[in-house]
Amino acid sequence: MSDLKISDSEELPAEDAENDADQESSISYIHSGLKKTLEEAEKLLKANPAKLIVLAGHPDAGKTTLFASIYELFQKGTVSPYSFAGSFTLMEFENICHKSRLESGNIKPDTPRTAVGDGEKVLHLALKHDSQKIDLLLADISGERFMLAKDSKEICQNIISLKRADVIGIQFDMEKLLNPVLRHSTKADCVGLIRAMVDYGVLSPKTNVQLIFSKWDEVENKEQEEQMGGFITSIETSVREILGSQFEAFRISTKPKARAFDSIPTLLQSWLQSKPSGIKANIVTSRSHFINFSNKALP
Amino acid sequence: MSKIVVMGLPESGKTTFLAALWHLLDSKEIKTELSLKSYDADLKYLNLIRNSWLQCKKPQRTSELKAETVRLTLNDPSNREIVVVIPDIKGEEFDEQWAQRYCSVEHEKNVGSMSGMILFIHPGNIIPHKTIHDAQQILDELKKISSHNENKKPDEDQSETSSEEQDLNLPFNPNNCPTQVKLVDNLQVVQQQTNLKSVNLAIVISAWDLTGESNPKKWLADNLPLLNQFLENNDLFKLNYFGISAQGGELSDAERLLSLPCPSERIGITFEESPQSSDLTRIILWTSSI
Repeated sequence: MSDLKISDSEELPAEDAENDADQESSISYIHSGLKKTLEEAEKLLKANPAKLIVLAGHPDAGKTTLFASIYELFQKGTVSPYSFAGSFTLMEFENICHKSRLESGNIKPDTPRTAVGDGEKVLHLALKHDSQKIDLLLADISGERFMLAKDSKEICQNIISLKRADVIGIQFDMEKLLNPVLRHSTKADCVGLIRAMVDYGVLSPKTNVQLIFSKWDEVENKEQEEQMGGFITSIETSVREILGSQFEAFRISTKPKARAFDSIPTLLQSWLQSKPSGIKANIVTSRSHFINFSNKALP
Repeated sequence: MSKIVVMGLPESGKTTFLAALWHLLDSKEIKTELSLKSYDADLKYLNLIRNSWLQCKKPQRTSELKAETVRLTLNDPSNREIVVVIPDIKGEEFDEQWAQRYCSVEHEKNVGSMSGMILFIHPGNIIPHKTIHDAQQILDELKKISSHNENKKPDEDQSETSSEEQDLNLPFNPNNCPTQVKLVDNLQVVQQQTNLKSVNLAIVISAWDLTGESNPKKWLADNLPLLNQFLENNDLFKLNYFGISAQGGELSDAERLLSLPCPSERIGITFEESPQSSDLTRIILWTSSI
């Protein structure tokens, strides 16, 4: 948020108040529109239940970009069957999307990286389906923090969103999985993060775990797809052994020209319709059935 | 008594609306649903913008003119009083509300005590939602057409242009955000400031004749889809859509407009119940209805 020149505080800035008392008496401050802590979000939601979605994975895996892409879809129209009903973090969304807009003067779309110093904050989207309004809180947490969390019980347990999440999407960066040097360490890091969440008792029984294979547009041909298919199966097997319960997997691209772009609405729907998963913290149960949406999600 | 508040971003048509409304009420050239009972406003200002309107000139921008809040008390056929508050009508205030995160206490008080609201949108002054991906798709299409016409492969020119193109990395400026986002944010502030369970919200598309469309509601859905979804999904707002052409045509067509015998008849309103009307007070009457 370095280039955003507005206060992140919900309070009246003290300096301004001293400098211009007359102006202060004639104006009324409104909330910043930036991302919020979970506490601030709950206050704004006034006890309305919300679904908390956490995307976890390496830095630059595309976590914030995925949230931004969902917001951008609603700028163009409904994402059937859901339509936009509001957001108290519009300014944050706009700032995140800026580098992918023509106003940035850029040729290549980009998303600002979430800094560790940003802490644990959420974006907000209110959506409506039929007459039911659903509030989504999208946790925007830096990839560095997750990489630290996989190695540290204290750090893992201190990420409050992980304990309270309705959905945790573990994001695998296809750019890294396609790279023979990074492939296995990327798998080890992401699967290790899931293991840490289970071993450190962070996963709640209500949490749904998803595997999200991002930047699927990097998979350029049938040969690569087949090669990756085998590797992804090995990832899913490892995750299955740790979780001992069902999970979903999605192949996603945030590039509108890519086939996997069409999976974003399916992913959004899975978040909005998520129900308790049956995962038990720190207990690896035998799996009764296993649903893999990988093939379904790929158009 | 009903109190109506007027909102809109800069150059959204509020001043032209007020100029035409003032002429309608003062001149009584045509029969209107509402009549003027009293006013609390700077008459010099009202007459100045009215004369600009009568002469088919662009009215002076409110930010260039020190305008006080205009308060018109109107009577409906049953003598019910309707107060229309056009607060300072500077659209910049609503732009600042989005970008600087504050609003005037006066606006907050007006919203807190209002019973209805009119929101102005000018089709010619919309900042659209423009992504780099969308622009690339258009460019790709153009390159395909161009290469097809010149019998070249689509990629032949691409390497040349991409080597010259560089990211400018212009900083984020909230003022450049899409109009639909700013308006959703403005209306969300209204939601927070009112205790009412239902507010009549008249969406007025100004310079309607320039759109060439026939249905204001459809125009909004096609051109400002995020705002449209927000409006349709919020129970607070009871909606009606109006397309108005307060000038009666483009200012470049002044000669024709000035030749019309009755200036009030230049005004055109398009809405569901009555496709053709010149009576701007019908918008106010609907907005004040219970």
